[in-house]
Amino acid sequence: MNPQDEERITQWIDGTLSDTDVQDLLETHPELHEAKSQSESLGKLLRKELDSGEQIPYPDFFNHQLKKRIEEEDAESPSAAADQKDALAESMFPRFMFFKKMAPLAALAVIGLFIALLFFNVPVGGSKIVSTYTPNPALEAKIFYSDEAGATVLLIEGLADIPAQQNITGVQAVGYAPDADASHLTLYSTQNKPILALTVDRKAQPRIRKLSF
Amino acid sequence: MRRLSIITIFASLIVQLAPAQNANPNSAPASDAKVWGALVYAADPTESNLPEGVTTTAVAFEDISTRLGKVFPDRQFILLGEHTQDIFREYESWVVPSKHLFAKIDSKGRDAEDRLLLHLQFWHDQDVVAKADAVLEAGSPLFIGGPKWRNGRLILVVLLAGEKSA
Repeated sequence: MNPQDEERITQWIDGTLSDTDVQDLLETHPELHEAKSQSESLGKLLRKELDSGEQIPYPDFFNHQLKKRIEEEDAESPSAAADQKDALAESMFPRFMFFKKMAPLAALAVIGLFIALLFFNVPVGGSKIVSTYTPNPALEAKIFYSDEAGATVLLIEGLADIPAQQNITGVQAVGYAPDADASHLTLYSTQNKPILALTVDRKAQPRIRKLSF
Repeated sequence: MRRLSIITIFASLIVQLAPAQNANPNSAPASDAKVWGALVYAADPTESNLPEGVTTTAVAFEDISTRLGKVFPDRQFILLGEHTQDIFREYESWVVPSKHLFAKIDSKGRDAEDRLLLHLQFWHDQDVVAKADAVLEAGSPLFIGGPKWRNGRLILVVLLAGEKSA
């Protein structure tokens, strides 16, 4: 490929080459049709998947896994013949070889995103839990999305059983308004009677007592 | 600093003058959403001497118990308590269907799809059992599986109240 053609390819990619010159270039180098088509497909795929607005859960972990996979790919030594072929192609189509080199990385990124979404069971729609933390290291939080139930489930495993003899009761409450420092709250029944008092102490610990039954 | 103090005092006065929302809903702080929280006992269907449940007026519960059955099969679901609460914009909000198991919610506002972004703490008596950053979408509940009790498990359900799914 002569330097003039290389220059024209650059202009074509930048969108500054005239239609006549594009036609002439493609007639001279018909193999560019396929390269262009591949780069356009890759661009569309990246835009679709990476601009979807989906939050990646645990981004540090995701980036770490992605980096690890890329390093693993790099560690695999390509054959000498492939090296020679790539070197020749790079000398002919330097800009397109960039896309070729980026393609596996982009594919890895897209696959990695799918894996991350599947691994953390983050639903595409519906409510979701983006991240969890259990202050007690003996506890484990498991998250999954149930398609059938249309619900996100957070299971806390490792909690001590509540003794059977302990009575667990609930209330029917309809709301409260916080006071000045949100430290004293009174919950009301559906009949507008105060039923629970919640006090938050200086250590942010809630104290709840029943006011009426 | 002085200006900040004046603003703080002024804000405090406003809030102190505000009675409970039920008494005067107009004076309640700004709310990002209403959340329905329920404490449900997922019991062994063969269990006798079941605890007394509450009689709910929430139409959501029939639908919720069906959905719970998809996640926790072979269980019967008893509503022990429920609490519908405004989730305030600048205050922590407590959803307390029971004094034993309840949630603290801090609103992070709505996203572009009108879902509620929140930070949730799941409490068991005096302990924070789990913290979570979550997104609540209308019509799609969160089921938080808590401790086992008797022959079943206690579950906290959190759902956007009074909003239809998109």
